[in-house]
Amino acid sequence: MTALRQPLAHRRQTPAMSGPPELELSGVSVRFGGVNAVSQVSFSVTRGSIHALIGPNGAGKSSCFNAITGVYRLAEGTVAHQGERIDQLRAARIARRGIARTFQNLVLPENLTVAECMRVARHHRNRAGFLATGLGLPRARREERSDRTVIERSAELAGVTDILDERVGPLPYGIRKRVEFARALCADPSVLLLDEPVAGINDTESAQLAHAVRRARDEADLTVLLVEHDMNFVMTLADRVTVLQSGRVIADAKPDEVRADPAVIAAYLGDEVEEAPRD
Amino acid sequence: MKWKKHLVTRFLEAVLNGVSLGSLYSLIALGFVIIFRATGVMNFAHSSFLLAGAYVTATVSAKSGFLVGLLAGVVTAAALGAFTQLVILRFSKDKSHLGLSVLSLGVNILAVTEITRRIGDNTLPLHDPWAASVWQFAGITVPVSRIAALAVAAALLTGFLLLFRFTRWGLALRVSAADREVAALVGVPMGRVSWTSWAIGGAMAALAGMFLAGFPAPGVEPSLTNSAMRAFPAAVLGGLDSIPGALVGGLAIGIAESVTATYEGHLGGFGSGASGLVAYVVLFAVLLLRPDGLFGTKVVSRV
Amino acid sequence: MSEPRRRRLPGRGQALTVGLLVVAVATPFYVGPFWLQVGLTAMAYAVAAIGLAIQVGVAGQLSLAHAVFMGSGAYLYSFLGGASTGQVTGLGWPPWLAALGAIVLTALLGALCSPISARLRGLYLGVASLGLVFIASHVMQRFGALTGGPGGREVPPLRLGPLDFSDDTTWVIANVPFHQAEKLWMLGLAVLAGAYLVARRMVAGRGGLALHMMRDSEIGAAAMGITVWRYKASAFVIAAVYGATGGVLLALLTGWVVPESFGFDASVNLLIMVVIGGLGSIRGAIPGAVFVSALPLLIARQAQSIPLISGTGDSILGPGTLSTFLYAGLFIVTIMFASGGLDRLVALAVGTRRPQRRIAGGLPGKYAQEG
Repeated sequence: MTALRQPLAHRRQTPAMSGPPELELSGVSVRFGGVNAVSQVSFSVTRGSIHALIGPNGAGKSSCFNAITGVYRLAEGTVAHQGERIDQLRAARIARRGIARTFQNLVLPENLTVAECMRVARHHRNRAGFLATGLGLPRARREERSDRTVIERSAELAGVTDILDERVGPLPYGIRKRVEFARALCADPSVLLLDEPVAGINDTESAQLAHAVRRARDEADLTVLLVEHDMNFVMTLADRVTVLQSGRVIADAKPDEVRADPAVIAAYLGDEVEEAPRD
Repeated sequence: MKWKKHLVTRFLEAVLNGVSLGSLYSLIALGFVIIFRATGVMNFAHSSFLLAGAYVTATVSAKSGFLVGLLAGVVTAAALGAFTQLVILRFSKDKSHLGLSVLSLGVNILAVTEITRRIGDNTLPLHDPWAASVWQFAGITVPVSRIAALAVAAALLTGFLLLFRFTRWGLALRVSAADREVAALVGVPMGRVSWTSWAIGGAMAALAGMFLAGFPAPGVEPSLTNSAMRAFPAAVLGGLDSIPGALVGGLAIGIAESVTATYEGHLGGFGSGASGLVAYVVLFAVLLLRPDGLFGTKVVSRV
Repeated sequence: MSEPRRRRLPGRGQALTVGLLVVAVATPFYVGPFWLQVGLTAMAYAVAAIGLAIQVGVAGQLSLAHAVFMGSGAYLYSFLGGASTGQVTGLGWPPWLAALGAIVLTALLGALCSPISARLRGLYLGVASLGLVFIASHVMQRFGALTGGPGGREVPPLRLGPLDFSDDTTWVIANVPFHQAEKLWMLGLAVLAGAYLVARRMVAGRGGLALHMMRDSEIGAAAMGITVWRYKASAFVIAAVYGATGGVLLALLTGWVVPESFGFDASVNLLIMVVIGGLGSIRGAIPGAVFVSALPLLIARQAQSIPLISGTGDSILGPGTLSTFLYAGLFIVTIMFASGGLDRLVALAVGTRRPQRRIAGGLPGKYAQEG
């Protein structure tokens, strides 16, 4: 598990930034039984930026996410985090490097409280084992106390402070989306991957979330990569946009440039109906 | 060296008996797989279906003859299967696959306890036409019941494969296994497919149970459920949702068990009775290499 | 919102806990051997059931083999602490060391399951665990030198330093003579209380939360840095430790261990205990265990006055059969209509608005029909 941190094999030229990009995909392909979900995708996410990944249904956005977070194995290509290859690592190892994510269809244990859900994300920041927590040893208590600070801070950012002791199950969808976001923040990530953070929630909530994401980026020194359909949300929030279509990158630029790109317009107007839903 | 002389025939006998036993396991496993495909439930009540079928066969055939008894046994087990789905599982508030599977375990406890109580300490004879007769050819001795079992199982398996290929029910089963929600959306009557699958699974278990209780076994006893338990690994071994998997898994376990039974005497005191374990030893070996079974669909997790 | 983590028992809950404890401690001063036997059996199973509640209810790992861990604890204790006779061998360790050794070795057995458990999802694991049951009963039947074979073997009484839990000595406390049963009652109570407290803390702590997460989504858990296979193995080890502890208690109380006590039926009964108790509920496992283990004993005692099971003939129900019908029926009803189980009743009694750790929708696993 430990020997897999290798230097990036073929590093792309990066602009005159300090150090390698926070996240870099080079020639990434993901296949399912001969079908390419993602083919030869390369893009890099600059440290401290909010980077959006957009594209019609089936463009391979979620597959990219799953490739980065180690859910899918790559058929080819590399993924690097802060200059080190992570595509060979297991999902849990990748998470421990400080790459946190949310899920499109929420993954929240319904019988836990909001605070408990958020504490799950503290897992890899802590050490106490079953014995230590079971016997209530000082280390476990210490960790619990320090968790509480982080949870309260993240809850404040995501706007879920009032419901920390509520059970997750009965909460409305929009709130649970925020809980997912809050939980991801609890991991103290360096990169935050948001999978359709505003899908299915109303404009007010969406605006609040946009604000929260920006605040989190500023205050917690985050890099954000997000997949989203809501163009309004993406265009107001993102510093850079990568557009995928049929598993390939068709544009990678600033929001304004992307908006004016004929290929992107064609992709959104033309092919949407024909695309098979995949992700 | 008398023992050496018989080495080959002994092995052949073991394999032949194993194929016959295996065909019965295949039958049980197939019913198990059908139910799993149709409803996503791992049917822990399967051994009670088998025991109920064999028990009714034995009691009815004592009075009305074997064929009537067999029919009654098969119908009872099928009814028990349909009942489990229509009356118990369908009304469960907990609809998770694991919840329903554990629920079927509850049905199993009730049914097995009741039948065990009725059987008591007795062993019920089957009154089957072939009884304890054996066939001998080329130095190989095989019980007729085993040949009959093989023939019936082969016929049933063929029949099932035809149903599966060429009928609407088979189509529904094929679709529903792929995706139950989609199947319901495209108009597959999932309710009917569910309970008929449970009934067919029950009927197959009853037939297999009848043969398993026949010679060389002494008759219908509560311990017959152990045979059904050996068919669980057969189903899992092949891959829970795979029809060919159930067939191959059943045969593999039947042969392994029969061969072990033939030679377990050479394993010393610890070996006697080891044939009852072989099913699980094989299962562990396969699952370590292939967690989804030999032919099972690899679950691609969607996030 | 100042201290989200601290869980304060409501006043009534606290009062109820203290009250129950007082009653339990006072019990051996007042009741006879039969009731002590019933209570002790229930305690032994309750300790084991707590472990299964964590494994199945919290971690979502279906196990039909929990009695194997109990059996392993019981037999290993007898082997390590027993003396060699003509029939069986024993190492003759001091009993406390034998008990500890039995628990540790069973934990190791639980860890040995991990190559299988780590690779299988819930339902497959259920069937695979059946294999453990059959292999274990084969070992218990055939490894005569260690287990005494089908006839079983004797269990050495427990001694913890100056505390002697055998019938050789009698303590007199408040003019009440404490024989083996009374002494074991106090021991069982202490073990159960400790096991319960530790379990509650584990489940609410870092590892327990990881198990919760893993139960819901293995991919989600991995994305939170949780090493899934390790936590699956942990669930097995925890179950093994609790099972072995319960097994040692059961062995001490019966004085003799036989293979039947730890077969398939016993494993299923343990599963029934935790389901009736309310899956995922540590608190519910205790009344669940009391109900399932005490019922056959009570029915057997009252056999004369229950019309169905008195008398002779084919139509009668034995006490075992009748109690099986009752708790299997309750098991089915619980899953079908009331997945909160007995935990719900406890919650009502202590006056919490919601049960403390009810698994929404009952058993773990993806929903078949509803989102």
